[in-house]
Amino acid sequence: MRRSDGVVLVAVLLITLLMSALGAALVLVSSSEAAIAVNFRSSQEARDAAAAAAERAIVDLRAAADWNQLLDGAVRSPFVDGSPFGRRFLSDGSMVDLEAVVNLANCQKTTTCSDVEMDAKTSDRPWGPNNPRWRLFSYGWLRDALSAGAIDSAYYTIVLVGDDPSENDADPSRDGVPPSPGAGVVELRAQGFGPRGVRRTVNVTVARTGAREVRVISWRETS
Amino acid sequence: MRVPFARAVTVACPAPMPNSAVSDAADAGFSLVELLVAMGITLSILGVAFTVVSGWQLAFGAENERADQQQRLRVAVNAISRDLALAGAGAHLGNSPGPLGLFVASVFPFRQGALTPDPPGTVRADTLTVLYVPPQTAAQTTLQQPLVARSGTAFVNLDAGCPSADSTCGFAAGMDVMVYDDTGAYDTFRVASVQPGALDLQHDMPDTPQSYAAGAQIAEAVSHTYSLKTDPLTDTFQLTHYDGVSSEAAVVDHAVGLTFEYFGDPLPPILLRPVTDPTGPWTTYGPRPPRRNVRSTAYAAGENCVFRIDPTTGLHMPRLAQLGNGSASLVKLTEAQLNDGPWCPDETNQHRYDADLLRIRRVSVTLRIEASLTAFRGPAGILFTRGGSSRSARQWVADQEIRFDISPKNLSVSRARL
Repeated sequence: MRRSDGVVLVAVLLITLLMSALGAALVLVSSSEAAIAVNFRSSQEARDAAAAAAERAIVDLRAAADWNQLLDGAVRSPFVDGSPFGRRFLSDGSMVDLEAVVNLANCQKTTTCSDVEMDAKTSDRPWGPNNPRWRLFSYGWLRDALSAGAIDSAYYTIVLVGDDPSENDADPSRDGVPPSPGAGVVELRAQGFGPRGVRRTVNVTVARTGAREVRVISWRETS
Repeated sequence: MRVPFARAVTVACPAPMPNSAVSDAADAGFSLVELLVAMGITLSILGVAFTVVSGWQLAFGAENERADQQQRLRVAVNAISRDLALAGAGAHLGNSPGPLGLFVASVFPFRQGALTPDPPGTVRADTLTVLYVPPQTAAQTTLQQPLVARSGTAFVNLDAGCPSADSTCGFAAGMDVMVYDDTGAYDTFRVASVQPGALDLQHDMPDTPQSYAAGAQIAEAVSHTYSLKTDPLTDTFQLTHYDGVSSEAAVVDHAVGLTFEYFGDPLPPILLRPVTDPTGPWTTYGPRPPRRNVRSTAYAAGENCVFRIDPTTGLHMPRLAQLGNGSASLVKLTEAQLNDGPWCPDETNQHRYDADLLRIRRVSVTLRIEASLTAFRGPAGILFTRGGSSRSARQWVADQEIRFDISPKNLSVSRARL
């Protein structure tokens, strides 16, 4: 056996190693890029889902005769997908817990909020006893918002309603009365939920300007 | 002919070969022809291998560059679209909530602020400034006393909507604020310090004699200016962001194209209810005109930048013309339309802006990003705004151009939903 026979094997191994390393790096870069693009798209889709849910909720607000019944939870939007509690599972297995979403909005924790916690003055809720007490208004899959097949989306939406804080009546379960600047004004907090924990929120301030007429005062993407 | 070093190989053997014939064969080594053939084959294989690997290396480098380019595009699109989407958001708390579009314009084709602001009437295709009240602020109230548009102290009311038990209504040092009223005037300030019921303000715009009456809105507000910075001498091509006060920074490098186009409401503003009504909104867009015998700007009594009084009927009529072909579809606003007046709050104001800016409902953005390394750019032309050093198309990473439209929600929300 010649002593130089193994050189070819070594050379082939080195070249294979080099090409494998380059290939692996290329795949890594490509897959990272694809993952970033997917996350970017998911975030945009969640925002659009939240916006669509808010628009749908505004239509339902217009039809509601008494907004106090929305603020105390007696009346909800027709766009609901069952009981107002429990979990909804997204396509990747992640879940949305309705009660946790409401509690997070009211006192920034997932368990039940006490009155004291909801009236606490925080940077997000600096109005103390006039802090909005969010309640479920609508909740359901975005694809169910229109007739079957009209929307191709796996996103879940939740819209909360609360009294606007431009009142000093310390009663967030009832709308103010004129001349209070908050009379006939409510806040909507719409959220879109997608796979991999994607979540976007839109806050909308809506005023009633007539029996069947509303006006959007402010539209704010908050997260 | 045998090569001499074959002997050396034989010498290196640890034991003599028992058979002389075999020993001769083993000692024979390689002939020159064998060596040349072997070297030729080896070089050919290595050449092919290096060609393949080199191609991979080029592809790898180009792929990295494309990924970087895409990422820079995403960063730029995200920044611009986020701020544009919020443009025009006004106070949502207090006595006179509503989008900025009912008071002042909030999308401008020029730079404004403390550092090198553009003069009135400037229209730059590659510059955009937006104003809005941040989504989660509670610092929104009204002036208690008149305020002149220069640095000084502003006394503020504690209106409904101010944070509970807060004598400064949520305002804090370092916060950027905006004062505006229904004459169509606005000024931006930075809060230097706060005291109960009073704010020490640093004016962020050139001082003017403009005076805001008690009751004018004051709210936390932000200004964002995006523009294209091009300096071939220093090889600087950037999308930059300016905060309207003192901070200007690059958003992304190697931006070689940026264009903003504006699409507006073709209909002139309409008066929805008598200006004497205590609650608004009074107009479909634009500031409410003063009462007939009241003169609030350089316009005649009862008039402002978007409404005039018809001398025949004595009624408020829109000062702006109807655009387009008579349909309600948005129309593209030309540069001439954006700097020919009428001016808000009036033509004597040093911060005046064209009233047609109040029409803007949609902004179209075109952004072009190039590869950061010249080694990935070919000759200047369709694919490359700026030429590079590469002459091999295999490693070219062409400029990426994206066009996207944003319809700021708050620029269209003032209309009632029936």
